[in-house]
Amino acid sequence: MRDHEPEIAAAGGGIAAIGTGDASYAAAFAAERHIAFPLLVDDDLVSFRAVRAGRGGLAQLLRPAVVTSGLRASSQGREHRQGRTGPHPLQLGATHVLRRGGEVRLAWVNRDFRDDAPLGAILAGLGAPG
Amino acid sequence: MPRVSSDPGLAARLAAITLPAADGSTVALGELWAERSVVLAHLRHFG
Repeated sequence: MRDHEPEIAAAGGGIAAIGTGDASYAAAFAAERHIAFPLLVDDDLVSFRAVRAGRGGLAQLLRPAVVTSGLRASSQGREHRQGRTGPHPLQLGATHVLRRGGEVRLAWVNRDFRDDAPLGAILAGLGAPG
Repeated sequence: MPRVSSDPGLAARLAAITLPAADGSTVALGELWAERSVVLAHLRHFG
C-alpha cells in the first residue's frame, strides 16, 4: 500500500493501515519502512471482525501459488520482504475506501491470501477517473 | 470488479473502534475519514 501512496494522495485520499501484533513491532516496522500514515494495532481483531474479514486455512496458505508469490516477493529484496507474520497467521486482510463522512465506496474483503484489492478499484473508490 | 458494501452499518461500527497506533497515540477510526477520504487497509501482517 505504501508503494501506491502517491496515486492515492493524487486521488484525494489518505491511507491508514491496521495490523495485528504488538505496538513495539508496529513502531519498528513503521520506522524501518518510513511509513508516515497511521499504522494501528488491533491484536484483539476487533476491527477485523467489524469488517467481517475472514480466516484462511492452513492448506490454502501452503498452496503452490501462494508459496510462489511469497518467494517472488522475497526475491525482490529488502523493501518487499514479508515481515513477521504475527500471532494471527491465518487472518485474512481487507481494504475499504471510505469517503469523507463515512460513505463506504469500496469494501474489499480478501477471499484468500492473494486476494488483495487492485489499485484500480481503490482509485475508483476514491473517485479518480478511470 | 469493485466490491461495494451493502452493509449500511459498516462505517458506524468502525467509527466506534479506538486502536493504539505505532507512534504511541490512540486513534478513533472515525477520525480517519472525518476530513477526507481514506483507504483503510487491514493487513494480514506487517510487511
